[in-house]
Formats: sequence, structure tokens, C-alpha cells
Amino acid sequence: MKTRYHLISWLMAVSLMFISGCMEDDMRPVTAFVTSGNGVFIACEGNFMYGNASLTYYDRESREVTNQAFLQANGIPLGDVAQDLLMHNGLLWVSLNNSGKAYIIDPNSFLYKGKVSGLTSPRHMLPVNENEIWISDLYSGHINVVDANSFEVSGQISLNRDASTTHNAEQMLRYEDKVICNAWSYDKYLFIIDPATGEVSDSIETNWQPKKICLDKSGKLWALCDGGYEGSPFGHEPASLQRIDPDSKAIEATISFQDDATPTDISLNSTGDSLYLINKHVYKLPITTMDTGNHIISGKGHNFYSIMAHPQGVFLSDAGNYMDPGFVYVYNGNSEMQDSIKTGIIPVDFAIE
Amino acid sequence: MTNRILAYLFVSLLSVSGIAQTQTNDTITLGEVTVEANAEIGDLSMLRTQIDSLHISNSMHTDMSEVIGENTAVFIKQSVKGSVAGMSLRGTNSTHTRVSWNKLPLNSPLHGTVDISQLPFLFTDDISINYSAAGMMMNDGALGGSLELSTRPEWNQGINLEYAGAAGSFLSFDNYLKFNWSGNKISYSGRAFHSSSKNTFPYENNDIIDGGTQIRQNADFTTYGLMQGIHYRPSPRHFISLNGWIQSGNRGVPGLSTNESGENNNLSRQNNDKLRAVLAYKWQKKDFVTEAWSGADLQRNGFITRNYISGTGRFISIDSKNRTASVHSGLSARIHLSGKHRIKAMVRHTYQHAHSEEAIKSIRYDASRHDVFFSGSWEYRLSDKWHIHSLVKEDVIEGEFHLPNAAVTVSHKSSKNLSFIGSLSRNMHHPSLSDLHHVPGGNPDLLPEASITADAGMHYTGPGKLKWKHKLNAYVRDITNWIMWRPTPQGYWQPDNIESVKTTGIEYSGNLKKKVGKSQVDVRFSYALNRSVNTSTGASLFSGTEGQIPYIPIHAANFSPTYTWKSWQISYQWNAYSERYTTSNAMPDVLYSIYPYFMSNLHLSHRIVCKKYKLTLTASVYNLFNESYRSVLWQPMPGINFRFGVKFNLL
Repeated sequence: MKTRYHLISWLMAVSLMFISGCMEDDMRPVTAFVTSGNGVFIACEGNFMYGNASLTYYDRESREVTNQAFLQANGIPLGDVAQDLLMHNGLLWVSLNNSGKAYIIDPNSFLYKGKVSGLTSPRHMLPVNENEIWISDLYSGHINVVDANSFEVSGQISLNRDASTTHNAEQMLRYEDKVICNAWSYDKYLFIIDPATGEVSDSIETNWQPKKICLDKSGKLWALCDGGYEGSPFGHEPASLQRIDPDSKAIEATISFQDDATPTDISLNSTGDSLYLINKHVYKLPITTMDTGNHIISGKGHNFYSIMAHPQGVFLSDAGNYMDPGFVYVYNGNSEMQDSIKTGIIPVDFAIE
Repeated sequence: MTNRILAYLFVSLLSVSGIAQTQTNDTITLGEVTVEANAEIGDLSMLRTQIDSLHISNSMHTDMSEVIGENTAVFIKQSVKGSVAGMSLRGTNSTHTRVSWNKLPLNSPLHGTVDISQLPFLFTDDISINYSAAGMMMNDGALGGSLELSTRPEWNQGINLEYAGAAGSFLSFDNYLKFNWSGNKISYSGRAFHSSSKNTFPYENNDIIDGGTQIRQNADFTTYGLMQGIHYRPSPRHFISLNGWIQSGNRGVPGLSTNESGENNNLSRQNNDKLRAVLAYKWQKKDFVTEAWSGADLQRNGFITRNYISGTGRFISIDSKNRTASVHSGLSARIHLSGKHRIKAMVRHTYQHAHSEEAIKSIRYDASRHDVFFSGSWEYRLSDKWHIHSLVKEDVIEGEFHLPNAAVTVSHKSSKNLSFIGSLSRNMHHPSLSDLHHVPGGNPDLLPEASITADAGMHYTGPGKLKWKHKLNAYVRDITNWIMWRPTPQGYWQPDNIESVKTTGIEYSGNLKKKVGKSQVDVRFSYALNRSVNTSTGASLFSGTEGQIPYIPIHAANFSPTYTWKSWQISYQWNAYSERYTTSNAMPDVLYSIYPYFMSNLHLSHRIVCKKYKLTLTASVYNLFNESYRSVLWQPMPGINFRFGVKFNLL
């Protein structure tokens, strides 16, 4: 009797080992891709600390969508919080803010080609010349200079003239022989940098938190300032759009939005004479006026997040509830929707192949 | 495969060891058994899960996340041992689980949650999880349920000394000491613990290019604390108790496996200090009991992120601190009007204060609130079979009266072995200070969450010598104004009320005990099915489906057979959770969900009893099959690991 119970209990224990099962960690089959060469890459930010950033590819000819292209091609996730896309020398660069790196990808196969690692909190990228990419950083107070061929960090450019100030670069753009960058986080300055010396040559004070910048065809700089948030120790004001003369550093005009407005992005059209603005709805204003007029695309039922105007269409992202896969809508120049693409979580940036 | 073979060999070895011991003679020394009479008229015990401390006394447990995670089908969201652990009950999130210790609420006034990895197992004698009406009287906002912890005095036991120490893989060490002294009128308990681990386990990092075998970094923790409790009963009618708890801890916050910012970047650490004390008085005579208690929970927490930039040096990117104080007082009276009626009234007051600051951005805020809760219950024994329990509760938050909460529970004892219960309740959970005032993102316009829950259950105890018990419960709950933090276009997260979440579920727990000669088999099984779905208008617009709320597993199960032979005991623990979705689209996907979790642990103990002392030697194997897994996205977990311990009791 005793032996029987002994045996039964052990049989039960051992049999459980067979039903306990294996967990499916790292089971990620890879797929080989060959793109048409006529597509759009969409970086999907994902949620902070969820590691669910992804890359979506939209083939403009076949209208086929490949989500999680990098994961499918390489068997590894893209990382945490995708921030920016850059097509340079036939390679696609993706900066990953909370993974401290940028991946360099073959756009034809989505295969990994290299990475820039050891970054603190990379944000945006700018090719300063064929062999040099600048990568801004949210925390470190400097811009990383990266060799576009070896993918090694070759230098740093500090925005801080002394130890008592901390400015962190966000977006960067070329203006004549200079680079202009905005310092967004708890800041209100644009900095003008001489790429030859890597020195800050001048600065322009804007409204609070210049989040996005772009340069129109007449050489005027547009800054979308989000105004900070209520209760911010650095100040808070309504969001605004400013037009700036980068030569005289004069603020030529300002549109102040309503107190509760949260404009998220601006983009110039391909000819540089009209500005698209997301402020709940989408507006299009000529660069010569400061009147947003009526919206051209209604944001009702959407959370429009970013926009890119291109000769082949206007790409508008909808972050939805910010926690589920979003959408990108493709419009023609007459603001007629051509296509709707389901993407990853929070589609944030675009790159044309 | 090699590890699996080793694991089988280990089990076989234990088996042989057990069989070999049949040739020796020894005696089974039973642990302390507490027999409690059922003092309730309206029986709510079927809405409670009591964790049997005797059942787990032979394994070395350090914190409550380990105890609950291994012994129930309750989902604990935690990455490595020692990291932040949240407890979800019945398809709700961790803010809906209210935790109290000797009637003192422990939920942070700031966030409304409790990190149950910071609740030392040693500081409590009784652990119960209460659902619906069972947890409403003593807890506010327990939409999911409550975890009630309490210490229990001994009387007339003299000196009782217990020490336990354990050492485990990855430089893990645990020590605790308990000293009890009790006479006829005074009972004292002093307890101290120290727990630490480097958590430097190896893992295969397949989440980055050329990851290879890496050692987990910045996952270490150290925590230690002291508890003092004194109970005084000057006469059989008067009881006075004072319990205090002080604790301190420091831990790393490991980054995601995809992080390649370098070993000196984004190094985050948390520290916390806690001081808790509660003074209670109880006076009772035959038909009347009154209790008064007052206590405070003071907490200080810090979070810092350090970076090192070549050429620039070290800098701190986040330096946040918060201090919270929660002062709680209560008064209750219970009277038996006759053998059939009992009435209870209670009033509780809580003052909460939180100060939060972030030094780098100079962000700071202070917030405070007074909450008063009035509640009354009536219990009625309709007949020997039918019992009714009803309660009404009024929440007054910062002077504002809300719609009353209420619960009605009917139980039916069909036979000696079979009981049924049905319950209907309305409950409310108020936003935390952080929900309302956090900078940035706090939303002062948030509404309280409200739930309506219907419960039904049965309890069956098998007749005869084979002791088997079955408990089955089902529930349906509708929660309106569920508070959820979500990202915003401004870059920070903000809480919002979402219209409606519906949770439905079934819970089963079974226990079979059989004693034959000097052997005993004790098999426990529990299973929970929890569907928790956002049913708000338009919720499926982006998710595509009405998906499960993130990080709530639909299925959870626990299986634990224990075999005791003389002074030897071996127990196997198997825990499983179904896929957990991290977005509401409930789509199985590498990026958006975590595969089902199956975990096996094995514990062996041997007790040596002498005239003056008792010695218990334990050996545990965790992750028996050396699974490569994670329970939170991109947070690798350790493979097979071991812990050996010794426990000494002075008799």
C-alpha cells in the first residue's frame, strides 16, 4: 500500500515535467525580402520601455505593406522608441532613442548592415556631408559626429558654452554652410553651428520648446513651439508657430494657438512654398502668410502625429490610442486620400526609398 | 537538453533519497496549527483565499511576490527577483489591489499601488486574498480584491527563536531572525531580515546583433528591515497592540535587452525607506466588540539615472525623489443582537500627503487629501442553511460625498459538505494623488472608477478519510471610468478615464490530502480564467478587436503536489500563465505579447528534531527545466538556479 502511494506520487510529479512545456523564447523565423525600390519606410516609435518600435515598408506600386520589416528580416527587434529615419548613401539609418543606438539597414532587403552604439539617447540625424552623419541626443548635451562609412563615433559637438548651461539638440537642418538645430526639451533656443569647426556660432531665442523646425524656399526658418506643459518649472505658454529669418535672427511672425492646443508636426511641401501643420486637424498655409485658414484634413476621430509632404504624396500618421498599431494615410496634392496603411505603434517618421 | 537531463537526475536522486529513508525511524512533528471558530454569521469565507503558511513553511520565501506567485493562480507582474512586482486580481490592474497590514493600508498615496516585492514574508503570519464583499469593509478601492496581511500574537509560549539563512545562485543571500516571547498577558515578537542578490545571471541575448551570452547587469538588490510587535491583554476583555516596521532597500533597474547605450549609460537605481506603525485597541465582551486603531505609513523613494559620456564625464539625467505620508485611523463596533443578527459599524479616516520632485528639471509638486469612509454591515442567519450579509459604505473624498457603495451576499449551506454563495456589489476606486496632480500629465478632471460585480461560488469538501476540497467561483464585473495612463503627443504619459471595461472570470481551487502511515500526499491546484476587455465605444477602432487589457493573462494556473514522508518533504510547484498582451489589440506577436509562461520549481526539505531545537534543511531548484524565458517584454530571466537554506527553531 505504502509503496503504491509512493509510486503514484512520484509518477504524478514526473508526468508533470512533460506537460510543463517549453516557452517560446526567441523563436523568430526570418524572411528574405527584395523590395521594389519604390517604397516608403515608416518608423514606428512604439512605447517607452516596451521595446516595440518597428519599421513598416509600404510599396507604392503594389500598395503592399510589410510591418515589422526589420524583425522579419533579421530575427531581432528594432529596439525601444524609434525616433528618426535617414536615407544616406543607399542605406537606411534608424535612430533608437531608448536603445542608445542607430541601426543601419539595407533598404532593399531590410537586412542589418551596421550600427552606431554607445549613444545616450539618440534623437535625430543629419548628413553633414557624404562621410559624416550628425546624431543629436536628448540628454548628453552634445551632438555625436559619426563616420558614415565605419559607423564609428568620431567626435562630439557641444551646445553648451560653459558647464552651467545644458542644451540638448533635437532636429538639425542645413542652411547654406551652417547647421541649425533646435533645443526642445525644457529649452527655447535654436543654435547655429559651423560644421567646419564644430563650434556654435550663434543662437536664436524662440518661444518655449521649439519642437520641430523646417526651412522654406525663401530661406525662412519655421519653428513649431509646443509651449511646454502646465506646471513646468521652466515656463509654459500656448503653443505657437514662428517664422524666423536665420540671417538677422529676427522672429518675423508668430501664430499663437489656443491654450489647450497641442500641435505635433510641420512639413513643407516639395516646392517649399506651403507649410503643412498638424494642430488636431491638418492645415496648409502659404509661406507668405501667417493664416492657417480652414483645415484641409479633418482630425475628428484621429490623433494625427506626424506628416511628410513629398512630390509623390503627403504621408500623414495617425497614432490612434498610442498603444495599438496606428495608421498612415496617403494623400495627393489635392488632399484626397489615396491609401490607408496599418502600421506599427505610433508611426513617427518617413523615408522615401 | 543537458540541463533537462540534469534536472531529471536531480529528481531521481531525491527519489532514491526518499526511498532510502524508509529504512529509518523518525517522527513527524507537526507545525503550529491554528484552529479558528467561524465567527461570522454571514459567511464570506468563500470569497477569500487563505494562503496556508504551514504548507509553504518548508521553503525559504523572502518576499510576498514569491509566496503569492508560486502558490496561487494570481498574476504577479515582475521581471527579476527583487524588482518591482505588481499584483493583479480578477482581471484588474495593480492599483485595484488594496494591501493592508494589521489594518494599515499600504498602497502608496502617490501611485495607488504596492510593490509586493517589498513586503517581507517574515513580517506577517496570516495572508488572505479577499474578493468583492469580503474586502470592501476594510479597504477602499479594492475593485479587484485585497491582500490582507496580519501578525498574530502567541500566548503562554515562552521564548521562541527562529533563524533562517539561505544562499543561492547569482550571489543571493537571505537571512532572517524571529524572536518571540509570550506570557499570559504580554506577547512580543521581534523580527529582522536581510536579503540581497547580485542577480548576475547569464543569458543568451538574441535581441541584438552579435549579442551572444551576456551577464545581466544592474539587476542587483539589497533590502533589510526590522519589525517589532507587542500585544498586551491586561484582562480577557482588553487587547492592546503596537506593531512597527522599518525597512530600507536599494536596487538596480535593469535596462531592456535591446539597449546598446553601453554599460555606463542609462544606469538607473531605485532606493526606498519605509516606516510603518500601527497601534490598536480591542475591547470585547460576549456580544460586543469594539476596536480602535491608528497608524502611519511613511515612505521615501528615489530614482536616479546616471550616464557617462567619454570626454564629458559623468552626468545625471534623472534624479527624482518622493516622500509620502499616509496616516490612517479607524473605529469599529460589532454587536450580536441575537444569535441571528449581527451589526457592525466602522469609520475610517486617511490623510495622504505626497511630495515629489525631480532635481534635474526642477519639477516638484505637493498634494494631499483627506478621505473618510463610513461603513455598516448587517449579518442575518435566516436559518441553519441560509445566511445573509449586507453592507453599505460611503466614501467622502476631500469633503465630497460620492454615491454609496453596497454589497449583498447570500450563502447557503446545503449540507455538511456543500455550500453556495452569491454576491452583488458596487464599489469605487478613487484616483491617486499622482493620477490627479503628477507633473507633467496629472489629470485633475479624472472621475473615480466604479464597478458593479456579481459573484457566485460553491465549496465542496469530500467526505471520508480522503480530505479533498473544491472551491469554484465565477464573477462578472463592469467597471466604468477605468483609469489608464497613456502616451500623449507632448511626449509624456497622462491618465484618462476609459468608458467601460468588462471583466469576467472563473476560479477553481482544489486540495487533496491523503495520509498513509508516515506518508502524506498534499496536492493543490488552482486555475483562474480572467477576461478583461475594454468595451468602450470606439475601443476597437485601433485595436481591431475588443482585446484583453494589457498584462492581464486570460488563463493562470498553479499546481503543487507535496509529498511528506516522516521528516522529509518534497514539493513540486508548477505555475502557468497564458499569453500576456502588452497592447489592447490582443494579437499574438513577438513585439506586442509575451508567450505563455510555464515554470517548474522543486523544493526538498528535511527536518531534524531534537529535544531543544528543530533544524530544517532546504534545497530548492528554480526554473527546473532551465527555460530561456522572460515575463516582461525584453527583460531576460535566469535559467536553472538553486537555493539552499537552513532554518533553526528553538523549542
